[in-house]
Amino acid sequence: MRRPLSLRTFALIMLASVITGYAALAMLPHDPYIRYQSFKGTIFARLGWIYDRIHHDPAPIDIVFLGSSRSGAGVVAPVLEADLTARCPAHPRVANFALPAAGMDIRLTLLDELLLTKRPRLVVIDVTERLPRDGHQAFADLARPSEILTSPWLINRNLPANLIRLPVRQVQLAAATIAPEAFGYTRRFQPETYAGTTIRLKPTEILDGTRLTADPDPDRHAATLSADSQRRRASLTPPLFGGRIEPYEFGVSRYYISTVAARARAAGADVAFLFLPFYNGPDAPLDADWLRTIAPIWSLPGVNLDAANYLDTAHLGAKAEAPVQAWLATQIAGTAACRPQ
Amino acid sequence: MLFNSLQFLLVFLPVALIGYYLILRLGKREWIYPWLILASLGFYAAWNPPYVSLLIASMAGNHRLARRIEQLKPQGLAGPTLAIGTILNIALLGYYKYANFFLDITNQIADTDWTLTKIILPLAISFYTLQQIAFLIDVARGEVKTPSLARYATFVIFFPQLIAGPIVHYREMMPQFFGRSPGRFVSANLTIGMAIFAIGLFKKTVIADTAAGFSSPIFAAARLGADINLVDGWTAVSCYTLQLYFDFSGYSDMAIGLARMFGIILPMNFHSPLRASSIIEYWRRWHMTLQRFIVAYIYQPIVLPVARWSASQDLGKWPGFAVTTVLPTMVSFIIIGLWHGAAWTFVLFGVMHGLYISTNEFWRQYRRKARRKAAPGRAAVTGYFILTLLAVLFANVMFRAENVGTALAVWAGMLRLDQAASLIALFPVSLAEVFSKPLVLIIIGTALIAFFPNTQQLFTRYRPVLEWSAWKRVAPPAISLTWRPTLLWAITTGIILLLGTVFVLRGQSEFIYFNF
Repeated sequence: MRRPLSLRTFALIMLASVITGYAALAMLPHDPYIRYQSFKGTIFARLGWIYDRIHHDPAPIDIVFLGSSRSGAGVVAPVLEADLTARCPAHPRVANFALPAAGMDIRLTLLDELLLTKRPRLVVIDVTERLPRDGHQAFADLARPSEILTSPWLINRNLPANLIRLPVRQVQLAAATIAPEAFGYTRRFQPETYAGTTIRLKPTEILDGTRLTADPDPDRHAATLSADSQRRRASLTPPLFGGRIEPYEFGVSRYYISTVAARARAAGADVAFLFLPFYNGPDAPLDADWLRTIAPIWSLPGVNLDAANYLDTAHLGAKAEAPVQAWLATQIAGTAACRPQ
Repeated sequence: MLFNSLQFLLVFLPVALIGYYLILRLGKREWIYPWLILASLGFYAAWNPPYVSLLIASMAGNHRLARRIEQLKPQGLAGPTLAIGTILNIALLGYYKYANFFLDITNQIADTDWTLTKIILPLAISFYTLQQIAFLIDVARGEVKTPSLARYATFVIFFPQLIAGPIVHYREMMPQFFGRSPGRFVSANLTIGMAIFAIGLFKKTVIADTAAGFSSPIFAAARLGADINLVDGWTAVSCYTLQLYFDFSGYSDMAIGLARMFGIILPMNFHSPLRASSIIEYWRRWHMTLQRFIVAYIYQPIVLPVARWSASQDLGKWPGFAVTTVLPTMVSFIIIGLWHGAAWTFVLFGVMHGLYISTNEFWRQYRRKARRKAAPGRAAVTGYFILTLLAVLFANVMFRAENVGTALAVWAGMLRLDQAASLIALFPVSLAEVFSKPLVLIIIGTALIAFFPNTQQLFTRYRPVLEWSAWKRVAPPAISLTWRPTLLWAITTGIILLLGTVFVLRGQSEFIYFNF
């Protein structure tokens, strides 16, 4: 231990201790409930409710929506559940696990967590106009270490940052697991603060603070949405690469969508894609050809030309609520989720 | 770009090092200057690209002035050019750093409403301005010759010391780039540099940023008018003192380690100042390169004429002391305070330390005969140490506070001695409180400061800093540890580097001295 080493040996051992230390920190155990609570105070705070719904609420989940803020605003679980009850012989239970931002990796994390306790019959994945080229920003903090370590390498621009973040995250979660109260978390489920089984999402849970209400003046509202819609259309860049490279450009999204679909089917669920267009946006996702090879796409028709249907450019508002749920119920009525078990 | 950022650690630094050693390997020694200039400008541009032009203009202008001073020196005419150069540098610093401050004062006094558009303080301007003023004076004194623009630029903007020092003299840094040194002992320099850097990174990301988490909310509450109690007051000041020390000494370690990776040894900036048993000793060991500058270029130029004047007036012992010691000390420390920032809190911080030093000098004079008979005993030294620490803690409150009112509120809290019984609340009574209360951090941080070797003591075998031989026996640690390339140290260094790096991701924060 005290004998001087050659500098090359020293450097190699130092590097080995960095790698070993990394592995040791990455393997630090923690309570996953703490991990889901660690988003308190962020725009992803509803992950706490999602964990409670999966693990602490005995009610089944028959239909789950894994999506972005689009489905967060557009799918109103209590209304949809009531519609489905009227159409289906059983009483299917709907859970909307939407989170802001469109990255697809986090959908797999949520599905895996869900499958630990529930057996959904239908998994609906919300897709936007263009598949994201990167993963979700909350993935690094929500995924299990094994999920981060086994993320696809090509072309996953978030991976280096996710890997580097992993040890400190594990240290923080391990410390919070030992003393949750010190960090403002709880060790046990608290029924008195649980929002309920089938809940309506508040705009604050899914949208940032700048877009919580539509402009009361319809003309001004339409003008604002038109301008923003133009910007959004312009930002829908076509694939940068063609030919054999193209799949890698959207490789992260394609990998996770395929895996979510495969894992859901392996658990006995049907899979569908839900597309809720933005105001004046395309009627169908631009990746529809590829998506159709995985599952059917439900593209919401007839709403995207009327600004009054929207809270902001990308999110449906109160006016569209009833017709959208009725349309969705019709789509779902044709799946196994509506049939008696 | 921050030293504690992943783009610096994983991209910029490896590229800069590989390019540097590749150039030396190819035998193109003269290319190392353009390479380091390019790398340093890139490093600086990552913060605010437009201000790169200000840095270049300042550098080119000072180089031109130095050349002119050198030309005029033989005729004894360099003085006015030196004065112009110094004034221009101070004016540049004054505009960017102090314009709004003095405008506010003018508005208050003259009841006017003049405004300037918001001026963004250029990163590192306080450091590179001082360094260049010192260079001009050294040229005028004939202590250095003006080098080529490439070498001069490397001296000013060498990225390890560009942003927050150590403030270097040309004659101590640049000769290391000449001769046979560059490219020798590469493995040793890289290993030692990396180890020193790792310790600095650990100090910053693990200790300083954790301490900030405890002190900042209390200062913020005080600013908003909250009542600060005894526990809050002492928590704020002790955690902020830990933060300030580990942040800035950590930064200095990183700078020294980075320079060492290029084979360059920088001067020391900290030498366990919080172990000092007098305020004079504290300032000899805190931000040492700034003190060096202030003493050489401000304090001494004031002392010499006033000492002559005092002697000519036959002022007597204590009036002479006031003129030759107190006056230059107060002026120097007010300048030190203002150098840190354009705010009354920094002025008062300077005034406090000026008074501390003056009192300390008075006590030394007063006790000189007694000291000759017998050195102070252990109890007296302990008393001096506690007094010094308390003085530093109180001044640090002023240094940290956003305004004088905030500092007064925190001081008031610290002096709520009627709440002494409440200090028991500092002790954690549950596992949760071990994390949520600062006592464990304070104990660990204090133990590291009080008993363990500082970074250069740890690397004493490898000449970690310039003039180390003069300092190696000062403030020896109670626990003697020295770094060596052994198995145990390889593992320890690796773990320190790992923790320093992974804690970057806990939340990156700027170094305190980046604001100055």
